[in-house]
Amino acid sequence: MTDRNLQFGDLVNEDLVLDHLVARDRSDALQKMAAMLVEKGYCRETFPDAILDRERIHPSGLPMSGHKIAIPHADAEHVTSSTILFARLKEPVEWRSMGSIDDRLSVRLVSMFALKEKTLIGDMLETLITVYQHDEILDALIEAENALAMFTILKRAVQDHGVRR
Amino acid sequence: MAVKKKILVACGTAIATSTVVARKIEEELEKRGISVQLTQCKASEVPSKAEGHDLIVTTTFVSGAGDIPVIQTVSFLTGVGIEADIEKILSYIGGS
Repeated sequence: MTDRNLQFGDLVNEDLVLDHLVARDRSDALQKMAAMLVEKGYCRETFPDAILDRERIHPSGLPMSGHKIAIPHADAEHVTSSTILFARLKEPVEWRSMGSIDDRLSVRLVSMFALKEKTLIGDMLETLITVYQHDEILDALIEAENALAMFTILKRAVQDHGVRR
Repeated sequence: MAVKKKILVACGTAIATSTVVARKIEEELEKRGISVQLTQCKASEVPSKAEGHDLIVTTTFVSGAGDIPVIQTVSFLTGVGIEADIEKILSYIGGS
């Protein structure tokens, strides 16, 4: 039995929540976020290309019932230390929808998963997906005053709704 | 006891979204007292891994599934339409 909240707290700190990220389009957002993970030492130099390639073949936009989100990720080999980078874009960008590539979503909330351990991938993705299935949490993230407020919302939501096995 | 039905769950990576989908399907079916055998694979592996399964559930487009029914859905990720997809799954695996 592991403590999911502790795991989240270990993986994510407030420096990994970005607000007002300016992006021309989906690729620009992915490139900027992935480059930051390389710069901070979480990912290898190969990570940005891996993220962009994956997104082209398997789009990561999700049509949640309220605000739409994107959950880009790449293979574990490109990651050196597991983390998740969250961004709220200054303006929404068009994102292709997973499972239905002709659908275009308007996305402002992006969670980039850089996870190395197989169990962590399943656990953290399931936890955050479960959290994001609550419309009111996505509403709160969109309306949050700043990055710190977003971080607090995420941390609390993982605590309240996170999956415990 | 009846033999467990086998569901193949596919996504782009075989470890990320398919893990979440497999767990959600397992949870939903457990609530209905149904136990299934779930296997994960990459969408590109479907042609080689499909054989012997009763159903394929995938988040992304797959080909080469042969005669095996395919449900392509992101409901288990978005939370939108889970009930309808569970009904669909039950109609293929013979649950009530």
